[in-house]
Amino acid sequence: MTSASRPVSAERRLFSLVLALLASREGLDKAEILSTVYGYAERYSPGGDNTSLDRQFERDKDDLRELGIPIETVDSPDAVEDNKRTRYRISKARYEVPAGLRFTPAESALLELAGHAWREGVLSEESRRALMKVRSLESGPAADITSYMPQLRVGHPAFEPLERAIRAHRVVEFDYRRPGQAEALRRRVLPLALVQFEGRWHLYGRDLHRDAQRTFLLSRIGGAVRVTRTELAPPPGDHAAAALAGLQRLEAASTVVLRVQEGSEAAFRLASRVQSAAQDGTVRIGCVDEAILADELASYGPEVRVIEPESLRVAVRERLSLALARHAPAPPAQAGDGDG
Amino acid sequence: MAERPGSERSMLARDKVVFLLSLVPYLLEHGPTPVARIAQDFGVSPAAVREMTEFLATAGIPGESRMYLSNDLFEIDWDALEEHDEVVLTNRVVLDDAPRFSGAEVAALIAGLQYLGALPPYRDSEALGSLLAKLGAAAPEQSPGHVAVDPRAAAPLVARLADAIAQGRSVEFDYAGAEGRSMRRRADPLRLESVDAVWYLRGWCHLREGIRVFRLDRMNGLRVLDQPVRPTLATEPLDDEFYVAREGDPEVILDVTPAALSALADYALEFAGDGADGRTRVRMRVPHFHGLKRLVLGMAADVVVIAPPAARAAVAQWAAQALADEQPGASATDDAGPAADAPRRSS
Repeated sequence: MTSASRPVSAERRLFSLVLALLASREGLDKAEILSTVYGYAERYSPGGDNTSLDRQFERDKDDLRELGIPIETVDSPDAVEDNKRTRYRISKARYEVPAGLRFTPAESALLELAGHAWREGVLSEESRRALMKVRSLESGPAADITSYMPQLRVGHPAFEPLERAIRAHRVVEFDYRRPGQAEALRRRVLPLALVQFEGRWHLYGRDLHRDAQRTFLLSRIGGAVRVTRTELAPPPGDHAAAALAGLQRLEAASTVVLRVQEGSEAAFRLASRVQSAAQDGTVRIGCVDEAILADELASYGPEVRVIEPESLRVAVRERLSLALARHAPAPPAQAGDGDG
Repeated sequence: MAERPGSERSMLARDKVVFLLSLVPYLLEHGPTPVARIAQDFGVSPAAVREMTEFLATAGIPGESRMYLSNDLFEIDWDALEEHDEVVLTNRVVLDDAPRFSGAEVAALIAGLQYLGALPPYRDSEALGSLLAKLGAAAPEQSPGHVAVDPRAAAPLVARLADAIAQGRSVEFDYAGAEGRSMRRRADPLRLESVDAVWYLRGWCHLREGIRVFRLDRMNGLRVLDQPVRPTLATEPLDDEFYVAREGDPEVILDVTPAALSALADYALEFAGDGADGRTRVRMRVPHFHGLKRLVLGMAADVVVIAPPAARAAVAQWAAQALADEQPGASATDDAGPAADAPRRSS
């Protein structure tokens, strides 16, 4: 179907491989694939060295499996050890969506929004491909939803390796620094869920050193996340729900008291989180993490004053003092900007 | 091909494979379809649709002969493609229905749906429940919803503004400017947008006479008016940016730590070399220093303003005032300026 000299693009080779494996009932062995399937056959050398073509096939197989295409291997019963005789195929029943699956216009509209919810990163790529598959499964044009554009950011480089590790049930390792600690500690965790709470991503997982479920803020993970080869079965349960419930409990149980200047930006921004307002004009809000709340309160400057706890009041003052020192009128010069 | 998959090129190839595998059942479902329609539905360029269709017409299975003979190939109506820019499939092999979703695809969609489930129009929606069941069945293995968003993430005003948009009515609200004063504003609402837990209304601002973005958590005293929105509202051009630098917006120079860099990812940062103490020096435009001083004090350990002196002074003054203020009722409008038109989400 083409001249042997022109290189075949990856998508054409992959597409042809899917068709060939789908069409073959009893499967094809490697030699048959490499010598006949478009994209391989052009480079196949009968009786010669096909090592690089062989490696190409192995990579293609992995790529297709990641796209959700179920490539099965069938070992020849009399030669289990001999992988040259292994046959490959794609079962149509396992390849296709369940018979009759169709999405209503209302469902299509929701899928469209959901698919665009990821602003960037690997989840937005996965969504894009999923929406292509959806296109042939629609029973009518999607309902109009242009008045909404809800979006999520991944926002931290640890998100993607953690998300993959959760699906693969792999143990991960990373450096984690709690506020107030000088040094980051190495943590070994079976990741279970990623949840966004108050706009920040948290990892929920089993801390294997402490042998207990823990919640980590992604923004405190330093350096790269190492995905180990260790695979562990996750405990049963809805981990995302458990993680969110835990954060909500924490927010309700641990509260702080503030005085907020009326009509200020701080008053607007904090309004939805106020749990109770006292007669003296102070308000009580939940606190999931003191260091993060201190950052936020510092940004409001004179619009907010911390009444209690003392630790939070001190933390806010520390931030303000640091900023004041670093932005003192004396020019910072080339040497630096203070003691850091 | 020597490099490992995962490069941008191979991601592109993956998209094309899924496109081809989806295009065939799509054509079976829809029959003859214009190229432009396919391009729109799949979010790809018309040129890409033509290229892929031309390839499809040469693709197929090796077949009994192992020679890719014509009976074993897809076939299209070439006249329809060349003369009417329409794709008509006249022979097909093997493919009947769409491929299943991968575990990662289902995970991405379910996480998105879970987020939508927190929004008033979709909360408890029947479509949401039925979708989750269908996706579960269409996945190769049962995928747990392991990515989730706090369902309370939707601001309380979202439902009322959504109603106003649906009814085409103007709204009025007190809007807190970054400089600490609030002002009554009137807007014709167009679209509700969010980034993570922060919600925005994009609409026609009667004060500025243009499309503006308002943060919902700066609104107070919302009233839905009887007046309809301006008739030309639907044709106003919308972009997806929250802040587009305007002529005359001041430029600032900052030294930031790596941690702050990812927090500032949404600003159009321009790298300006190495900063002090291992920080990175960046340049960015801000609508005004009121927002900047809040941004910097919220990341006091990670961001230092280098220039201009007026920006440094705004930060220092804001911090000094907070430290000195034993009377928090005192005025915070130390540095007056124009009201924020399109405030940055972090401002």
